Amino acid sequence: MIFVQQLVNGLIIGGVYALIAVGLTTIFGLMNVVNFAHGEFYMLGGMIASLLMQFADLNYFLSLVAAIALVMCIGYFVEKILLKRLRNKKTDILVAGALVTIGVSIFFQNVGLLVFGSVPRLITSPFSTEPFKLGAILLGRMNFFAALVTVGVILFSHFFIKKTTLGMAMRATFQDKDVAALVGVHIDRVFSFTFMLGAGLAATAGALLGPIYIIYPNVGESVILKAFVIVVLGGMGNFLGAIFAALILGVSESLGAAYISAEYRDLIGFVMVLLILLFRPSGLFGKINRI
Amino acid sequence: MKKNSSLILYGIVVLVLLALPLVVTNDYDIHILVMIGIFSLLAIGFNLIFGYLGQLSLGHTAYYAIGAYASALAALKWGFSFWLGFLFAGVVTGICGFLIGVIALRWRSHFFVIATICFWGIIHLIIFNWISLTNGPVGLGNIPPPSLLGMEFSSKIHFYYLLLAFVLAALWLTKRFISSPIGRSFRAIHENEPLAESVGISAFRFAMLAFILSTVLAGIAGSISAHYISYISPEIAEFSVMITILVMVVLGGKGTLIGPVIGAAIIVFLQEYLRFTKEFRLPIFGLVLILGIVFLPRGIVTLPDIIASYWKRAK
Amino acid sequence: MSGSFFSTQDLTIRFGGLTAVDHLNFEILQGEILSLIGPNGAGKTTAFNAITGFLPLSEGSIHFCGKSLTGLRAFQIAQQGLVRTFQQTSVFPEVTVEECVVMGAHKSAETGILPVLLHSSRYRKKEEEVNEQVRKILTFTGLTEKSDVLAMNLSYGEQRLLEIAVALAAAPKLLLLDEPVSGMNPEESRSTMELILAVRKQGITVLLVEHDMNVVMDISDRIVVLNYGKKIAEGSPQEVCENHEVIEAYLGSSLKCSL
Repeated sequence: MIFVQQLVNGLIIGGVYALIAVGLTTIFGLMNVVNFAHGEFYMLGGMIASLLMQFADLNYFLSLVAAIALVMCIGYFVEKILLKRLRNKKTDILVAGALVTIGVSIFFQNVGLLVFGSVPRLITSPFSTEPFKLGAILLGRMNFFAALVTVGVILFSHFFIKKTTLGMAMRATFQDKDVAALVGVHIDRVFSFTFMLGAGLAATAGALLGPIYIIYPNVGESVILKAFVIVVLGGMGNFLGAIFAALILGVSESLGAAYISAEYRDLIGFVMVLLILLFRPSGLFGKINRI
Repeated sequence: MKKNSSLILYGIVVLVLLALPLVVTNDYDIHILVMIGIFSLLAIGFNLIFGYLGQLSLGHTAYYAIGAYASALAALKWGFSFWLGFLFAGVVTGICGFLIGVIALRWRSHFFVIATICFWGIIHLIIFNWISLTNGPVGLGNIPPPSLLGMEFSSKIHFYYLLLAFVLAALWLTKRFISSPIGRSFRAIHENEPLAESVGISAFRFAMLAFILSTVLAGIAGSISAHYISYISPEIAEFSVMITILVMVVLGGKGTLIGPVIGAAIIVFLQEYLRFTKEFRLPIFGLVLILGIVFLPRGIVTLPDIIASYWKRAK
Repeated sequence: MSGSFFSTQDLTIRFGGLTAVDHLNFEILQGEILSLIGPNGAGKTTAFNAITGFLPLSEGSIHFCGKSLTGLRAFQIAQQGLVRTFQQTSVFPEVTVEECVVMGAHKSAETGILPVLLHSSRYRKKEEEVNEQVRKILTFTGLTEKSDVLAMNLSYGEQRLLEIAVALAAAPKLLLLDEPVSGMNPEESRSTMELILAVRKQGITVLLVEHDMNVVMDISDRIVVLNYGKKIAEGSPQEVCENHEVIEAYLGSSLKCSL
């Protein structure tokens, strides 16, 4: 029964990983930028939600929504002020984007440190701590809520990209920037929106995990590592691949931590990446799929 | 004519550097110089793979740490002297560079970045958790200083000269490579990889060369660091060290010969003399990185040229 | 097959369900200028990329001077003496014209670690040889005056000239030119044509992929025509012009046959 319990835990955590990874992989796929500040968006989501609950006396759900909205605004400004400038220059966007987002990441980590202090926070869960019981499996209420929101948000994003005009513009830009620009797609707007979306997804994950795991200003470092692992496993730019890879990673880590060793839990992901690069660099799921 | 005058210039600089400890007598200042030396080695190596080849080895601190721990353990467990230790460190990190290169350099750019980070993640985890080998967070202490001709290095000045020798050697090596067909191949790959391949340049082979050189230099820097500070802990593998190296190379001038050294000097100065800004150190680095990439993509080394061209335009 | 200078056997390239090149068999004779032509989408560039190692073959093989090139990487094929240019202007942008060609001369340069570090006499001799070779090529292509100009600051026509210079520096036995006169005015096309003829005079065999029929008809010894990935005609310019299938394939586009 431990197995099934760990499996369920793994799926839930994997789902939240998916939220983080999907944003990162979409930003990469569309803008060819490896967003090193992605982990900080996660952190900011959690931190802002926590602050709103503490100082603005908002309930959890309102704080969740507000935090996501605020982080999306922050993402918008980062993209407009910094990334856009890089596009106009002749620099290698991948390296320049990486360096700039590393700078942004450091900046936010330290802003977080200054504003929020170094004491880790745990957001008070709006649910009772008594878990649901599905047969012999225990399911924390907050975890269940997180899983629901995750599924909802991912489905929403998926349908948004498939059905709306903006989504179509995104897909066009993903396939061929220049042609998309030629047929009248506002590339700048697409980029802004993509970055905002990514930031928002990460912030959602941060605010959802706030009541489950502690948040501290440097948490972004471990988050971004996880996200990278998943994105490579799933195929860079591959939306669905990221989801599956996230679930696989979540389950592997959960089972690995239970049966092999807890301290080396993160090792699983790293080793998987190196193996994938050795044998199947396009990721577990083949060529880059459309988003 | 030109060759002779630059040789004379080099000669003067080397003489000045050799005579420096006569003028700079403060122990703390010598320590600064030693740290500049260690970071110069790191930066010069990183500049090879990042500056000249454009590949972001974001997990570079892993090799620094491996070098430090390899050398320290060899000294503590097998009684290796420093001289054997740094060679051992270089060999170990060279092999790591080879293995990671084989995995990650076949597919460059973003895959390479992530693969190097994953390797760093693995190393960091191992150093932290394999307590029987590395003592975990407690670290390893009592690492013996080097001895030369029977005498132990007892003063920082000895380390200064050691580092001076290594840094000059590293610079010489870099210069030799860069001004040769090997360096031209680096450049070609960086400028236009398919074109380079079409004239017979194997991007993989040359990237491997640069990468292994960079990991070996990082390993040697780690070894020297271990025997200088005589204590190492998982802290040397922290990501902030990586950021430091990155800022040094970007600020100083990536893809230039002395840019990394200048960057190392500036950053070490800032770090040590502006102690009161310790909390702001990293955010300032972050800002420097951002501003540097946006406004001075070629680094400070190019500042004289930029100023000169503005001057010309203003006239 | 192994006796010929260059030949492909059943060269096939597929992308998923699409067969871009279908069992292509053709030969290039040493010392000739062969043009590969066909309507857009006929598979010329795909075949070109596969021959030069930039695309993997799905089926078939390639032989050059008795050696099999099948499965070799791009740089290895270049080292065998098969050098290509690119359809889109491809230079080393932030490097001077002279340095570009020097970089192209990679094959003649010494890249062993020890010789480089020690500046051995062998190393110095090879560097001199490279410099000499580069000087000759710059004169040959008429780029000597622009030696110190950054490649990205050249005019379009000059850049295309530089491409050929860089390719020549790689000591090709077979030079593959991918649309060398595209985007050029008649005057530039003419001088490029003359350059290609001069290259052939140096003993270098040339494979040309080109849309400009004037150029093709004027300088080709033989022509291979592709359509939908298949070879539909092969022969002298005259023969190809009078071929029914070719005329049909080009219906609606200009196939000038006035020789």
